[in-house]
Amino acid sequence: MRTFVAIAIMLLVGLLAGLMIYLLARRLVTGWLAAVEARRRASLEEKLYPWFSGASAQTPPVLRRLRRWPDRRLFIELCLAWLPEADAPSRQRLIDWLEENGYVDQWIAQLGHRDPWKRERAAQLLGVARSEEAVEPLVEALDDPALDVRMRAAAALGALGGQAARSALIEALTDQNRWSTIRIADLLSEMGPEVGEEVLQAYPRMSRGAQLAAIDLLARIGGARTGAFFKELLIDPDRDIRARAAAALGRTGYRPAVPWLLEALLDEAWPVRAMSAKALGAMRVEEAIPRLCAALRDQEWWVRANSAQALDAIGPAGRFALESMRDDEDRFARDQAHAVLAKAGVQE
Amino acid sequence: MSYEFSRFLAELVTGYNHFILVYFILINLGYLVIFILSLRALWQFVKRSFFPDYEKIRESDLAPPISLLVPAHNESRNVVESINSLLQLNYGTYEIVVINDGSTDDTLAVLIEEFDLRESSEPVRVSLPSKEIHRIYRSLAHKDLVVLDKAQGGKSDALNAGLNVSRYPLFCSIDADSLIEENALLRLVKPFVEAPRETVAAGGIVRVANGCTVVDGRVARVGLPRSRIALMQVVEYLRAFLAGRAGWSAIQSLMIISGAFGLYRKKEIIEIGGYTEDTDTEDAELVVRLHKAMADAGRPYRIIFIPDPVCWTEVPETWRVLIRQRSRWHRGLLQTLWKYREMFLRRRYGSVGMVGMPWFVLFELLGPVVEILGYLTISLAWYLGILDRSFVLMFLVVAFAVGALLSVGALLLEEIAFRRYPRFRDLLRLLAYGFLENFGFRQFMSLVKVKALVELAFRKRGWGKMDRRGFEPHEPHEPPFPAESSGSAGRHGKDSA
Repeated sequence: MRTFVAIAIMLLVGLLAGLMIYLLARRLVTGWLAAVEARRRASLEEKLYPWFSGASAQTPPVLRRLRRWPDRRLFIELCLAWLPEADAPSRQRLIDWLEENGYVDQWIAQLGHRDPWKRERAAQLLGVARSEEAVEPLVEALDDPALDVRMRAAAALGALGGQAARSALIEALTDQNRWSTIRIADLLSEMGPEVGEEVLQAYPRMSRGAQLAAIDLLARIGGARTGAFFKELLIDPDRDIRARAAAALGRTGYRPAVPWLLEALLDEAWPVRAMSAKALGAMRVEEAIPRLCAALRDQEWWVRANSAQALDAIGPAGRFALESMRDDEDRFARDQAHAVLAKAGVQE
Repeated sequence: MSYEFSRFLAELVTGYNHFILVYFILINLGYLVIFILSLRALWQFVKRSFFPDYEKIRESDLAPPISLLVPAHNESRNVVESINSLLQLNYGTYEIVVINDGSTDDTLAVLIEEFDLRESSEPVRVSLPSKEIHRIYRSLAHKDLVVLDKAQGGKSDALNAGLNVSRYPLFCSIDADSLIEENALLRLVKPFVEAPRETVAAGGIVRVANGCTVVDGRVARVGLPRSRIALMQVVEYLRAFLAGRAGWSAIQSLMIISGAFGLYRKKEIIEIGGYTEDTDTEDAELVVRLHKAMADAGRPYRIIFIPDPVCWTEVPETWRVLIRQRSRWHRGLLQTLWKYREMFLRRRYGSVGMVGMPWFVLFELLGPVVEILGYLTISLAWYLGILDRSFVLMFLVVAFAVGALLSVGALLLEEIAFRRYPRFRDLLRLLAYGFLENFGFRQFMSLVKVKALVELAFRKRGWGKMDRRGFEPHEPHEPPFPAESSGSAGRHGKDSA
């Protein structure tokens, strides 16, 4: 027993001392390395910049020695910093060089690395490099088990653009994670109006989360068929979809949907009532004033707040109704009316 | 003393020593496992943070608005600094609800003067019971700042009143003596955006503000306190959060979110009845109750710890206040564990019932009792002449070395993941105190905890009085570090390591 405890003591004390020395040494070494890297980075930048900016046609000799630590990593960091802001010829020159020297192939290969962090980094680099060779592997990476890799691959495809990337991203909207579907919808909204028709076609086979994101996306990019489409969604069995559709109608200003929005003000789900009120305000629908006044007495704060703001947004008639609500028997309605009028500068 | 009785005592002491040995091995194996889980969780977190999405969250229409609830009782020294820090948060839509819980100092007057408050007649929809709200004030200078003046009812009551007045679907409880980092809300809300149906609560890390330089409500320069008591707590907090909660969170068994900085979904909290006053630690009680309610309802849910959003808080610098605070925490732990004893080893409560509850009962709650009894049996063994001095010495060396190893391990996690203390001298001091706290401080804290359990009979309750020094102002001769763009804050290193 004694021997066992003595060995344990030696091990523990050794481990403790080792850990403390490691901590201190790590702090000193990382400080020194950071200083070395900063110097190397400045030097590398100075040598590469003339070639990169087009001032010099000759490939800098330092690019041939990039295997040397830490230049290779620093070079990649410089690429990441330069490429997004580069003009077309400079970008093409650097991408050609990266492809010729096997960097793009290496990053594509890294998309299959077992470490998700490396896969994510590879996807990010491919997005910055925007090499056509990367489209197919990036599309495959949209099925990666790691959310961050999928997100980075989606961003890379968004940057690359083109039909294949667009279709893959619409397909990726079915991702079960709500945050990633929102981000993918963001990317799609920046890929041009032609996305809209494809999304409308894909909508019926999307998951619920994807459908929510698709509604937001369609509201942003607009299109001839979207208003009627949103109007139909106001009777969807899912309350979140109805609420999102109401918000989308407000954003697109599709006036034929006004009667449906007035009905939606009486919906059983408060998010739908709140979004319908907001939409009617955004569309300045004067015939909605009586219903909005009634909605000021709603149980939910969001519905009351949106209704009061909608009345204010409608214009003089709405504001007049709001002023009359200051004397309403419902104190919550009175309070909302006061709050919005005060904000509008109509009262103290 | 008769021979038989001496023999009986000797056998008792020997038996207890064997028990201590097994207990010691088990508790330290447990800490090792939690440490490894924490290391893994932090490593993954650090890798992910290379690619932050925070700006996307801020810009998103779907980032949920948040009500910040700040209960304040006699906080006139810190409350303005604290609210200024909240007003500078980088987040889309949020409101600040300060609840003046019957302060007897000039907290309310300071708030009225500083933030240009005017009385408001807005109605309140009462969802949770609370003491009477005398008045509601709104700030003319900051439209989303509301102050409630209410009768004193304790922190839980204040938070319930704040919940009644708050508007938004998420709420964040924040202590009035704490400072939140600029991006803290963005970081804390991320799981609610990524998994909105499952995430019901999230907690950030609480760091010690003593010794830091505060400028305009922000920690402009991170430093270590001069007070030795506070310095010991810096190490304790790092150990509790980085080497503790990160690991518990990884196995879905997080049982404490600091009252100083936690984000919750309001709907679920109102459904379970809001904060209650029947324990001394409303934060731990709420989280355990939330676990229970979610499991009883069979709902998939997540309660998680995020190591980066930082809340800076002032910790006690006198023994008197520290003892009172720790007594309260330990009493609260016992009350909470007793109240939810039916969760103990029940499979329906998942890892909380099967791992978290047993661990907290056997090691966190009873650990100090076992430790103090251990010291007593050593004395008894010496008295009976059966003390094996060399073995006891070796055992104590092992115990101290393991304790120091855990503290140094926590510092390693801090160094790898965050490195918030940039000066080499600070690292040396932290290492020294991580080592020294095992010689006296830890044992004394165990004694305080045992005393707290005894005190339960007297039912000492309430806010407790914290002697505030106030945040350290800017030192003009030393330029502050540039404000950190990342990170955030929290407090109450409750799960003692």
